[in-house]
Amino acid sequence: MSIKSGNSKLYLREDREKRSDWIFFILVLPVIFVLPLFLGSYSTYLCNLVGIYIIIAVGLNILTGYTGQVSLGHAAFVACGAYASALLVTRLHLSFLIAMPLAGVITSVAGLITAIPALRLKGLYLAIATMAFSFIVGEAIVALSDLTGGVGGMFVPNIVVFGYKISTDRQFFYLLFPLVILLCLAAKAVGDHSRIGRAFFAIRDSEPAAEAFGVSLTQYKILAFVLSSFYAGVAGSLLAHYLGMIGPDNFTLMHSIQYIVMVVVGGMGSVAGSIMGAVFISLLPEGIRIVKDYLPEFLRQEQELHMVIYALVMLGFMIFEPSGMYGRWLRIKYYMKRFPFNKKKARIFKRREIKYSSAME
Amino acid sequence: MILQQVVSGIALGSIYALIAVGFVVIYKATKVINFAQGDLMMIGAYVCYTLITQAHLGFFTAMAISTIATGILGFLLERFTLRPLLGSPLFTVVIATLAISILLRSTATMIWGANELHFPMPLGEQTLSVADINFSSAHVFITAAAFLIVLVFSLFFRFTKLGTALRAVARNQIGSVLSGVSVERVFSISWFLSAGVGAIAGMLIAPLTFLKIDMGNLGLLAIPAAILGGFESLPGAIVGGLILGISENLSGLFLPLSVKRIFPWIVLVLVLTIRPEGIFGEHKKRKL
Amino acid sequence: MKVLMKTTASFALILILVLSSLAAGAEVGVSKDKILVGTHMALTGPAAFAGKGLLEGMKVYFQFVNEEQGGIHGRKIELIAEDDGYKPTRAVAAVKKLMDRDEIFAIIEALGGPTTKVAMPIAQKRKIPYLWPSTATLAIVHPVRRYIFGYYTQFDRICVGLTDLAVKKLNAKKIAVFYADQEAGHNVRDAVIERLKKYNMETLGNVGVKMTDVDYSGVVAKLKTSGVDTIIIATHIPTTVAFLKECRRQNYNPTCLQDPQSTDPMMFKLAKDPAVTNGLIGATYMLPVDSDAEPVKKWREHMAKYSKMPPGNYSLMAYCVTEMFCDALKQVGKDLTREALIDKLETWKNYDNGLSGPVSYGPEDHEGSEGFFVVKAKDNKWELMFDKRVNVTEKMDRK
Repeated sequence: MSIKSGNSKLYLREDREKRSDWIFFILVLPVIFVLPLFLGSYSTYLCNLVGIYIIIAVGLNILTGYTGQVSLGHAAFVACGAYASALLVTRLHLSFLIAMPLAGVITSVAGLITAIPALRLKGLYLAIATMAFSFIVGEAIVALSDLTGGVGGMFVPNIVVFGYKISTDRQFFYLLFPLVILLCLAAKAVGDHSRIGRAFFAIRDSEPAAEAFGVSLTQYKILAFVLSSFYAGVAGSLLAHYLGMIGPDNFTLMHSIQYIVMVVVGGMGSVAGSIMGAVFISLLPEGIRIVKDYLPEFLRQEQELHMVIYALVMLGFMIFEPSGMYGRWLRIKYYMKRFPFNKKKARIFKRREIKYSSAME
Repeated sequence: MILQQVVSGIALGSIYALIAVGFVVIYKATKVINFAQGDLMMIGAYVCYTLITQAHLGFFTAMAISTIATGILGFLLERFTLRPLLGSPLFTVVIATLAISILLRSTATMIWGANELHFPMPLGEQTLSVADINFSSAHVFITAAAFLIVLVFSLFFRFTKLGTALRAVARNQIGSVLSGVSVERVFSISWFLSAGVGAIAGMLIAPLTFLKIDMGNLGLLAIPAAILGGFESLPGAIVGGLILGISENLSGLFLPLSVKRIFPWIVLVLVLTIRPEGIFGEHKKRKL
Repeated sequence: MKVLMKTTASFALILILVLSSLAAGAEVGVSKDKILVGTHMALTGPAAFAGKGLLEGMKVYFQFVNEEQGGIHGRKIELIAEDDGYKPTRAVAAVKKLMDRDEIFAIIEALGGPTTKVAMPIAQKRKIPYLWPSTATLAIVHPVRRYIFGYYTQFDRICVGLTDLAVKKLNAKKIAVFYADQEAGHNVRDAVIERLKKYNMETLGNVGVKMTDVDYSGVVAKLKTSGVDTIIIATHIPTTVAFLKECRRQNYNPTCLQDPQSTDPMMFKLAKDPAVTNGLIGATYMLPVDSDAEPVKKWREHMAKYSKMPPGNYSLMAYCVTEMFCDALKQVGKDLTREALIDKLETWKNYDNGLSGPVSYGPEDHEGSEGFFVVKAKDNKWELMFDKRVNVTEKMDRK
């Protein structure tokens, strides 16, 4: 809905101040690792789910935030990873530690295959093509019922690491979170300091310009798909073994939408944003549950209220905070830093400097 | 046998076409795929149902009121959710339409409940049999409506001042602003029209599928038809719908079920890779 | 230095918060005057129709017990229902919340295949009774798990019964299955194919449909030309009605038999015209909702008294199961523990509350009911076709 859709102001660059990053890590890391000792199984389960969603969102951010390629079919990649890992463990009796990265690689191949038709497409058409891909994968899962258990789904055994069975939520937490941190740091490294990351940003901001500077569109778009689907594959593998049971219901269009919403709400183009988005969106139902207790009786009974609020939050972010939670955080930070001389600097982050209407009328 | 499948395919294709028209009208002017189109359709059908059962109106009066009401809803949605997003990346707008879809669906559940409801057939049910081929009144009605709507819209786009403005905006936004067309108003009007068409589609399809909240999922199925037809072309929507409907039904005769299901999506991927502008679309050169 | 102070401060804060939440004691859901019971089902989304019906049936019976019988051995029952939206991840969250936060005594009457399949192993691991989920999933009862009990007749048994009925009594020559492309539908299709082998018959031109399908004229035409005379239907109510309507439109009148999931009065509301559904034969777990049997009458009275919802099959199912649960609690007595409840259930022989058939359990048998009623649609009503329940007691071949 625009005259010109390239508006790179909305995409965020990572905040490059090293010091604040380190403070963040010093503060947050120990808390994360001590947390499950004090939490019950339910809260730990939520944390684990959030961890898996973080991997997916950070991976999707490589494709959407860094490279500007929309995917409305990311749940299909997660499904690929989940089923690949489950089959490797149950049929080929591989160890989980081998099966998980292998599932990531297999999903990367699926990403590669999707990337080929996607190379010709942009924007909406790409979104629809990826959506079509996810429907095709969903149908394939049902059709290959000898392998996948079809619509009924399949049971997946617990993770065994070096003969040690991971069966409680807490054990899984300690397996998952080092991995989450590793994958996040890797994604951040790609975005911050690498030639690949710069090529991705160039493609996102202007394809012709990137091409003119010698960035191979084909090569880097495929690479973005491959990297992104690798993350999804790993997350899928973890999800499958954690839930203990997977079926087509875990990988629907609604899930794909949820993943993309995480990235957008968090702030496109930044790892920290994706993490914030994943945490926010997956804990939103919990938050709504708490708020609900303070609502009038007739609304409290209304089960659908949860979805209404979810949709309103989504819309609110699109309209009032399109640069996402991380964008807001940066703005607050600059505001505090320059206080009381904040007026001028804060304008850098104004959403649209030239509003369509004022320019046109 | 095959002939009967073709006839059924035409009926199915007309349903696709009818929904696809709504997508095309919005896409033409605003270059956005409205993922809430299917849900506007659902709202239209529910409003009509309420008018018939609660206010005891006749079917056609209820239909007219519901069409306009849904149109106004579309207009308001554009005004308050998408207008503020002017100038944002396309992507943000698409997510916003997805959010609208969820919003409409859950609000409708709060109002009308999750149960399926019986929706009356406008002209009663009759079946015409010619040489062992059945034509049912519902199908004839839908096919006629699809053609009629496309005809009316084509004439409207061709001959009225407003239609010309819509076409101008579709072709060149800056140019049309310079010639005194308010792009914002054109956007609002196209949402109004598309929501209205959606409501009509909903009311015609509801007797077949019953009135249900997830009628909106049908909307997604019409996207391949719209893309096949070129996404900007109204006759394209009909042709795309019919091709898909007929070929889907025929594929059901010879191919396994799972292939039949993904058939439209495979067609879509092929069309997008080979000829992204569809059958009726114009080829656009890439501009710097 | 500043950083260090901040770190310590935030740590202390988090510790205090966490510890305060841990302060609650470790109950198992039974206190002096209360028993906490949990359930999880879809209360939103496409499956909400079933979920809301089940929840209402449970609420009504518990309310009846609490108000008219003063609870069970002086303890009132409190029901905590979680909405899982038919999504596996949310079902796990729901079960863990029920176990950790609410500390329920048992979970009864959860809904759905994919959701109960992920929830059930957790209950088994934590040794929490997970009783009588409403699902077509064989995994619930096979293999037997100590804390998991099934109640509703398994699909393979129903299909054996329906197929035998079709072949032996209704003279079916060419049978096709019309099924929803979901777990329940696939189960029915496979079970019917399996059973027909006994009669040296095969199904002909089975049709799978999705919820989003609009038009069945092609499908019906295909069935008609291939001369199918009996169709076994395993789809949701709207699909079934739309399919039957299309059959009538094309003047095609095969014998139709359907599985329990859509044998509900709701069907007549959608069809309106009795000509559409007349002659449809349905399997059902419970007696018809408008039956004159005493227990069904009692249920209708309670529904009228405690609920605004019109009586339907799902609320009857949940009502029946809830009554079973309360009876089991009463039999266990004052010293209520989970183990005692399970032990009691495993001694049940031919328990019958009159709403459905008798049910027996044993340490190696948690399957539950083994029969179903056959009803026939006549003038927008379900009427019993045979007075007696059809029982399929033979041993099933299960992988």
